[in-house]
Order: sequence, then C-alpha cells, then structure tokens
Amino acid sequence: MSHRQWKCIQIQRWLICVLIGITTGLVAVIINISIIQLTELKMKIVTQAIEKCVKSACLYQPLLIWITINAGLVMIAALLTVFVAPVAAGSGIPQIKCFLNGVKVPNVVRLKTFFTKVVGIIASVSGGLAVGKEGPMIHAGAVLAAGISQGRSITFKLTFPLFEYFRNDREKRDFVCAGAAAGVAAAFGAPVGGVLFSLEEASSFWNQALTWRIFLCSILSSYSLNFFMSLYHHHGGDLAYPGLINFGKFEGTYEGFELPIFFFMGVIGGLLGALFNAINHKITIFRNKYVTIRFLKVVEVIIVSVVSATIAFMMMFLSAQCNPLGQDINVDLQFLCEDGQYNTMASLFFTPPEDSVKSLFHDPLGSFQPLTIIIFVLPYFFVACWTYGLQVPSGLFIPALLIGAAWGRLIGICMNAICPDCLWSQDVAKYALIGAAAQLGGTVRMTISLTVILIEATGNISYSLPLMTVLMIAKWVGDFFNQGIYDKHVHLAKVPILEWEPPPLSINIHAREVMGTPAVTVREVCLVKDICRVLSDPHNCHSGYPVTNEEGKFRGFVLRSQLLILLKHKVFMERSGPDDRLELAVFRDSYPRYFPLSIVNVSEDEQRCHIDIRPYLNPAPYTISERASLPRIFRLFRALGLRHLVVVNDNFEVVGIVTRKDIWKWGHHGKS
Amino acid sequence: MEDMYLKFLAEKCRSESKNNAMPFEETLQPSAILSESDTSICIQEVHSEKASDVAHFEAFEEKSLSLQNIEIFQNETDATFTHMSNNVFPQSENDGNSTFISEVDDSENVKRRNSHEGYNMLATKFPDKNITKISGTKYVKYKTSAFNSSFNEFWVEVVPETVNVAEGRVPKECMKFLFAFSNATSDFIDCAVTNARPLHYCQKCAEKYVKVQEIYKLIFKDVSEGGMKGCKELILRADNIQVVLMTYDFVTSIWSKSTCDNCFNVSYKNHTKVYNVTKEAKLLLKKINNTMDCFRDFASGIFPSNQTSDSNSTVCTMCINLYCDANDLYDQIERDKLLCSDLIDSMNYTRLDWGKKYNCTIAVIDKGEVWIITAIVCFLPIMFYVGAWLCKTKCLCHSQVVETES
Repeated sequence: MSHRQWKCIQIQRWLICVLIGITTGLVAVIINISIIQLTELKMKIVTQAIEKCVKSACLYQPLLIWITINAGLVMIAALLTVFVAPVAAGSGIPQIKCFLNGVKVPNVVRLKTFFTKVVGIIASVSGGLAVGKEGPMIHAGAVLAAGISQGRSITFKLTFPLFEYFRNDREKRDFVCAGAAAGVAAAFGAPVGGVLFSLEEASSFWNQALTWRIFLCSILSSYSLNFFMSLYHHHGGDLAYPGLINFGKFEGTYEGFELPIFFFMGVIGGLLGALFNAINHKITIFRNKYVTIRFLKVVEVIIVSVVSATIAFMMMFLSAQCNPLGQDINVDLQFLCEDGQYNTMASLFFTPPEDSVKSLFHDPLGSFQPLTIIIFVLPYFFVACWTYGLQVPSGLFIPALLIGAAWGRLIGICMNAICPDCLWSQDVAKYALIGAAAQLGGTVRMTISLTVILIEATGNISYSLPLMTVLMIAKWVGDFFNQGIYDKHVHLAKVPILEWEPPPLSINIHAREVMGTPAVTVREVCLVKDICRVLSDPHNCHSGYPVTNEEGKFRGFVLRSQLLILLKHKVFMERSGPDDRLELAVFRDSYPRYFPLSIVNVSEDEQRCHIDIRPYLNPAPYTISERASLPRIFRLFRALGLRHLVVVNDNFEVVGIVTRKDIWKWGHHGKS
Repeated sequence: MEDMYLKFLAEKCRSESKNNAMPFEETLQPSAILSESDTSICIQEVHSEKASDVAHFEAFEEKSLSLQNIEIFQNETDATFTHMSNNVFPQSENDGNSTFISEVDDSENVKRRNSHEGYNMLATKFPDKNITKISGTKYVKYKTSAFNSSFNEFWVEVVPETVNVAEGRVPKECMKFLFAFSNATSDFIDCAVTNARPLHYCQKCAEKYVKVQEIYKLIFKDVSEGGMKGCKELILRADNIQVVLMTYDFVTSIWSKSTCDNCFNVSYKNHTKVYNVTKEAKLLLKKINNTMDCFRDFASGIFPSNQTSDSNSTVCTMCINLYCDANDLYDQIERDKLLCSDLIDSMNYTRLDWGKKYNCTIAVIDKGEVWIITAIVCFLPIMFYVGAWLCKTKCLCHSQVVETES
C-alpha cells in the first residue's frame, strides 16, 4: 500500500463517520415524527369517541377503539420481529454490547434488522406499549454504521467499489462504535453521552483517534436531528431552541442539605431497580421455557398491548383529579371532569411517552395529586416489567424514567408538605429528575455514560453532583441484589461476553486448565481431503485452526473462512503456477457472509491435490504459554478483542486453544 | 488632556466651595459641590422656577455630562459654558445659568438628596487625588393626565416653555419622543392593570397598545421633525439600563402572552394599524354575557324557581341552550386558533360556574360494560399463560410417552 492510499483510507474513515452521523440523525427524525404523528392521530380518534360517549353512556366504545388501534399497531411490530428478524426484539443495547465486546451475534447488523427495528419501534411506541424509542435508536445507528462502512448491501445485491478496506471485523467494530454513539446522541440529544456510552460499553478496543472521530459522528447526528426537529417545530434553523432539549430545560437549583434526601432516593432507586430486574428475570425465564411457538409469541405481545390500553383507560376512568385547562399545554381531555377542566391522568397517557416524562418533570406543583401518581406508578411498574423482553423492539429508558419521575415527584410533594413555605421545596422538578435517574441507574446499572446523558438531556450541568452520586448509590444498592437488566438478558441468551475484570480468585488457574484440548490443527501443505474432513466435522466447527509444520511446530493460524475460499477457488498446488496467489480483495469480498462447505464441489481427483496454506496464514498470531495465568489470558482477550488464543508448550508445539467461551465458562461455571 | 481638565475642574470645585457660599436664589438653582469627608463631588443641577410648582412636577433625571462634554468645556469659563449650551439647544433661551456652587440645603424646593440616590450619574475617579466627579442634571416634566392623539399637540402641552430641557445632551426633538413614549406606555399599563380582573384588556386597551407601537416605531425609524437624526441612539441606547427598551418589551410581552392579536382584524389606514374586534370574538362575548346573565338571574331569584324544588336544576335546564351555544362556538374558535385571553378567561369562568357552582355538567357514566371488558381483558393473560404452560407440559409428557414407546 502506498502512502497515498494510506492517506486516502484515513480520509475515508472521516467521511464514513460524517455519513453515519447525518444518516443516524435522519433516521431519528423519521422515528420521532412518525411516533408523534401516529400518537396524535390515535388520540384524536379516541378523544372524539370519548367526547361523544361521555354524554350518551357508551364509554365502552372508546375503550374498544383504543384497544383495537393499539393491538393493530403492536401486531405489526410483533409480526415483523417474530418472522423477519428476531434479533430486533428488545432494546438492542445488549446485542450491541455483545457485538462490540467481540462476540459474533448473528444478524445483529443486517439491513432487515434495521428495518424491523425502525418500523417496529414506531409501531410499538405509538401502540401504547410501555416502551421507549431510545434503545432501538442506538441499535439502528449501529446497523447504519455497519452498513455504510462496508459500502454495500448484500440483501439488495448492491456493491459499491467504496470502502473495501474496511470489510473486516475490526474496522467494522470501530464504525459500529461510532454508530452506537450517534444513536445515543440522537436519542437523548447527548453527543458527549454518546461517546462515553461507546467508551463504557466497548472500551476494550478503544483508541484516542477513534474518540475524536466518534465525537464528530455523534455531534453531527445530534445536530442534524436538532435541525430537522426545529423545522418540524416551526423554529427553523434555531438550533438552540429549548424545545429540543430532550427532557426540557431544568433551571432550578438545590441546596447542600438536600443531598442526603437525594442519596436516600438513590437507595430507593437501587431497590426498585433490583426488584424490576428480578421480576423481569422470572418472566423471561418463563417465556423462554413455555412461550416458544412463534405464533404464541405474537399473541402474547397483543395481549400485553390490550392489557396496557385497558389499564390506561381504567386509570383515567377512575382517577378523580381534574385540573383547570392550561396547566399542561399538551392535553385537554375532559373525560369525566367538569367543563373547563382536564383529566390529569390523560396527560400521562394521551401523549408520546417522552412528553409524559416531561409532564412529570416540569408541570407545576399542584398539577398531579399524590393519589394520581400512586394510581399511575404502581400498575405501570408491573406492566413495564412485563413488557420488556417481548418480541417487539422496546427501549427501557423511558419506562424507567417515567416510573422514577413519578415516585420522585411523590417525594418532592412530600418535601413540600413537610416544609410548605421553604424556597427549596417549591421545585418538584429536581426530585422527579433525581428519582428518574435513580430508577434508571438501578435498572440498567450504567455509570458515566448515563450520568452524562442525563446532564445533557436536561441541559443543566449543575445537577452533575447529585446525578452522579445518585447513580452510583443506585448501582451499588442494585448490585447487592442482582445484575443489571442488560447483563441479565445477555446471560439468559448465554452469550460469552467478557466483563471488565477477570473472574475473581483466578490467579492460580493456568492456561492448561482453561484451554480446549486437543486442538484441531492443519498442516502447512496438506491434502484437500484432510481439509474437507476438518471443515466438515460437526464436532469442531471452529472458526480458525492452528497450522503446524511436519515436525508439529506451530507455524501460524488460518481461519475457516480462508480455507473455504481457498477450496472454492481451487488454489491447488497441482493446478496452478507457483506465483498464482489469491488477491486480498477476494477474501474481503466474501465478508461477512461465508458460504457453507456443502456448496463447494470438490471432485475425487481434487481430493488428492495439495493446498499450500503458507501464503495465506497469519504467521504471527497471539500465542500464550501453557503456564500463563487466567487473568493474563482474560486481559489479552478483553483488551485485544481476541476470539481464540493458541496455547503452546516450550517446544513450540500446539497443546490446546483457548476461546472466548472457555474463559466465559470459567467465569460462570468454572468453580464446579 | 482629559486628566488635566479633570484636575482643573476639581480645583475649581474646591476653590468655589470655599469662596462661593452662594445664597439660594428663587429661580434657577444650579448645581453644587458637596464635600463629603474626603471626596469632593460636583453636581450640576437645574431646578424649576417656582416652589409651588414643584408638587406638580415629576422629577426626571437624565445623564447629562459625558466626558465628551467635559472636553468641550475645557478651559472655558462659566459664561462660555452657558453659551455652549445655548448653541447646542438654541430653542431654550432662558436656561443655562449653571454654575458650580456648593449645595445650599435650607430651602424647601431644593431638596438635598444624597447624590447616590436620585441622580443618574457619571462618575470618574481621579486617580491621583482620589476625587470622584459626578454630574447629574435634573429635568422636570409636566404630568398630563389627558393623552392627545396628535403627537405635536401632545408635545406642546407636555413641555412648558419655561421648563429647562436643554441641559444634558438630548435635544428637544428627541425629548418629544421620550415624553410621548412615556405617556403612551403608562396609559397602556394603567389600562391593562385596571382591566386585569375580570380580564378584558385585549378589547379595552387595543387603542393604547397601538399608540405605544406607533411611537416606538417612530423612535426606531429615527426620523424626527426637521429630518434630525440620532434620537434613536440617544433614547434607546444611551445607557446601560435601557429603560425604554425594557418598557417596550414589557408592553409587547403582555400583549403577545395574552395572544390578543387573535381577537382583532388588523387593517392599515394612513400607515397606522387599526384594530377591529373580530366577528367571532364579538359574538362569543355576547353569548357568554347572555349565559352569565342567565346564571345571575336565576341565582338571584329574578326568575321564579318555584316550579321545581331544586333551584340549581332550573339554572341548568333554563340556561343549557345558551351555555351549549357559547361552548360550541368557543370550541370552534379554539380549533381555528383564534382565541385571545379575554375569551379564554370569560369562558373559563363561565364553565367553572356551570360546573362547580351550579353542578350542571352531565357525565353519564356507564360502568357496567366498561367493567365487563376490563374483566375479560384481565382474564386474557391468565388464560394465555396457563394455556402455554399446560400445552408445554402436555407436549413434553406426550413426547416422553412417544420416546418410551419407541
């Protein structure tokens, strides 16, 4: 590669990041506006029915209309998810986390997953499920990044002669990092939070130059979203328009003596988060065990949506609180209230979920009575628990924020009751915010990225101290009971993800005890028959093999995909001249979907030919001595993103191979 | 240069404060040098002529001397000082007897004030001698209660010929603007506050709002009589407080927050805005008034309520048509986004009376069907999960049976 080509590749990296940023922002715009419009339309229909029926005793009609619309919308999401791309279910953050950790998750960055994710999240949010759009936006950003950086779409059989250099896992992972950051930036309007999210979830392969590129990507994403949303809100071009701040602008302040109250709220958040995770864990286990038929999965989603709609309707029906019109600008549903008043519960259900969070944060002190909040938060908690893990795209941030904001506001009201005339107790917004942060922190157990996301989404840096401490306390309290919800789902899916730290008390474990043995090896020059036998053996469907010479010394490493391509192109010693070599481009071209062995036709004659692997093998792979300790192996895997590590003895002979799963098993089941 | 002059002034202040214990004169009583501990302060002040008039005059302060002026007056005597001011403001002939004297504090119409309190001052520290020089001019403005629509008439009435407006740097043409603006805004605010409850200021104060807008526009266009320019700069941006701008913003914010414009058809006649109340607003107000009249009549028992035992039900049955009429029209106007705060407020209170006071809101609650649907829906998940569980265990049993058989 010439110096010029190298330069060109560097420039291409920046170009791709710019593209990822802008397109992620655009996708976020599409999701946002569709959700707003669909929700508005749905609520208009239901409102008209309610207005008609309040006076003529037919309230069951709006209830049925509501249930039908919700079930219909959610069914679209469920059908897509179940039958097109099951990996698009849930928030997508666990999947992206696994991908960035170095695990190969099938289909996670495919175009159909992207499509399912986007359409599904629009349908499920506007279908009134207790879900948010944030997690799926992050996933969508990641898929876009993976797609753009490869310069082609295999689904549409489109291949551009662009970005060929990036067609391998390592480069792709960097771009997916950028895409996830852009997704966070678009979802919360938090560019720095996006970068830190990528750092927190993918810190294993971090480098400083990448940070700067990713920052550009997330800034572009967040501002292209802002630009288009400002047009949508008729403040065209006003990028500092306060309506664009995700949770509304927080302007209040707090006193030092309120910090202990906040800490206490952190403890509550940790407890409630742990409870949420525990219940969701049980439900997920039940689901995995009993709801296995695809048709039943769709039915389950529909049932949840029907129950959600009914609960929402009954809450409004039973809620006795009416407030004078105008306290909440978004809602004017009268329902059973007197003329000139609106049902306060409606401000939580007749708006997109983000606006409900904003209402709980910012509506004035008297706008929600304690009873209304309790009636709201108790059922919502369980419904949200029940919803996460269904076969629909579903973010977890907004439900957690809603629950937290509700009980946080309740605490704020209590404080106000204790000290009605104090200046510090007049502002319930800060309690709602701290409650939301505590609940979210207790559920997902993210740390720095969540703090920064919340700071950016509220536009107030002065809350950083309480937010950080509260998130820390919530995480500690929650970790005392169980894992974060994403980790729980990763474990339930049995994905070999590596934690930040090596398994504890493993310093005396050596490679000998961890490795898989005996390792399947191939020779430098070997018979086609042997290679076919190795590749077709169902017991060792490994993705790579150590290569040895005649004396059994370790010479290098060859990937399964490389062997397959060699077989397919019939690069046999007997058939080709000494200088005929496959180009690197040939290997890149078939990335990332490799064909199975069965489509390679090898005749009887060819079986007896030889293949010289030497030009193609990796002559200097990572190896480790059989006496190396487990923490050392772990750190190699974690820091370099390895998938396999060859264990050699003193004579440089292959004695075994360590894979990700070996380490993971040791961490989780090793003690037995 | 500047320093030299300031020194000179300071010296002058001192010498005069020693020598010139000038007695109080009845007419123009110019300024003073107060010696306060170690700081000498020069105050240049213009007063009105008669003690009896003071009560009717409102103090009006304006920053007068700036460093530029000081430079102009450098090395000049008092006489030239007067001459200069007459040159700048040729119309005001009989002012300008300003001299530097020490303040005399024994008269009733020259109230000694703490110089920090009443004057908008320009203060310059003397670096070497630790002397602060402060200058301030006191203006007087005639307080008029009547507002004349004609701008020029207004001016004539407001500023009596005898009043000294020439001190300071604002020429008479600009002062006209300032006075006019002052009166227009105070009229508007007066109107808005008196009509705040019940809220009717959109209808009642539109004319006054237009006046404020017009005068502001004149100031902003910066064209005064005789084609003189520069008033905009002097009025709007002369100091760091910018009271005129603040006041204007305040007035417009009242108007726009109440979305008053929605209730008017704005047309232009002779380049001035004319506000006409819209048809819809008129009609709605009329309907609301009728409804309220109906309520009041029944509540006060003008109409006999002895047909039924419950007087409230009579209100509800008798006024329902009027009320619904008004309510429907209101909803329609709301959909067209033509509401202003007058209408919103009137309707809110009508609705509150209807609902709270007379309990007339009808809400027919049909609990039966809603509860049945809820029960069915709650039953669904239980059925589903039990079914799934049963199916699975049965299938498992079945497959186990098959396995053992085979």
